[in-house]
Amino acid sequence: MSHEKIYVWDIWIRCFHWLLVVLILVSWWTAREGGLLMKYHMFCGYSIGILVMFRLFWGFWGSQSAKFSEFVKGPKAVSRAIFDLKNRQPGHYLTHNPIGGWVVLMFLSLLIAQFATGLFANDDLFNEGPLYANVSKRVSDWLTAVHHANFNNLVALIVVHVLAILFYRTWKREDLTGAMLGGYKYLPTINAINSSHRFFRAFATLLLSIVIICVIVNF
Amino acid sequence: MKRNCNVAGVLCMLLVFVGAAEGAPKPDDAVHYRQGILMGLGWNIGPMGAMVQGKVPFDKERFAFLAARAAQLAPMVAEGFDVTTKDAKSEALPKLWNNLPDFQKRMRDLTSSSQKLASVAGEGDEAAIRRQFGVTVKMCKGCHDEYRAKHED
Repeated sequence: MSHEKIYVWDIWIRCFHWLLVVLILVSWWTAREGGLLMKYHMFCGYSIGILVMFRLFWGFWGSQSAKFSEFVKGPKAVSRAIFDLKNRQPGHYLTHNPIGGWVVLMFLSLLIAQFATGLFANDDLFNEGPLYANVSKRVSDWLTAVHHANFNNLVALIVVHVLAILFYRTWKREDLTGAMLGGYKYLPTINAINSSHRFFRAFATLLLSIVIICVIVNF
Repeated sequence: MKRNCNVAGVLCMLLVFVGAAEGAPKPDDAVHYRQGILMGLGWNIGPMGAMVQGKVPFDKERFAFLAARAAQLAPMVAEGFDVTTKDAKSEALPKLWNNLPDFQKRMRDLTSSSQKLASVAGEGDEAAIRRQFGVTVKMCKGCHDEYRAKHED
């Protein structure tokens, strides 16, 4: 079977992924330092909100590999993919594999929860989320605790994700990081996918996401 | 006369006992005391934070007033963290009592940095005020992160 360089991840998916990495790191650091840096923590939070919003929309009308309908699969496909883990060869998926598809949904859910609870959080000093005034101190304290606890969930999932990438790299000889950086996968030529950039659609979606997050934050 | 002396002696002893009793407040009272002082600190830090963040215009006179009050409250906090309050209902984590020297050092640091904030605020250099405010609230956060229970109901 001859292999071909196939364009899998469009520029938007790749930007989404790596910006998310940077923003999560900066969010973590600014929250750990706290105090006056919380201003930047909140800025990171809004940016992550915009990214997640964009990714949700892109999952419906983005390029083919980004669509939820492409990679969110039922239990049969998932169990087949789990069974296939033992084979030492790449899986030849044009998008996330059926296991990864569910991990994507888990990541998005955790990020939405993190964004939502952060809006109402407080630090018991002088920093408050933009919607803090809409809830009682008690409720805010509770949501702040959820915000802290959910971050641990996020870290756990990130650890699983990174270990999985290492597993695919070493055991299945699949370079998923390279594909997420450059956008290309080497796959048998029988595969084909339409991952065009769709610039206009992407800009419109990004704009829509920014507007929605701005409305939520200033509610 | 002798009898009078005895009566006076007994009275003196009683006074000593009463005095001792007054010197040892109930643990719950100590918890309320420190919560009150911490609430007072927060009361003054809030508007300073709003000024430093530019949410409200910077008013140097008011800032200096708030900073001076915070500097007076800060050294009063530690007193409420008496070991007798170990088992009282509060947000203090059990590990606070195992790391008492560290906690007390943090309290001294809070005191010195808040006093420095008050003096810097008196001088009126806005950049220096911001910097020292950042240092001071870091002391608050340090203890909250380390020794205070998260609000999980």
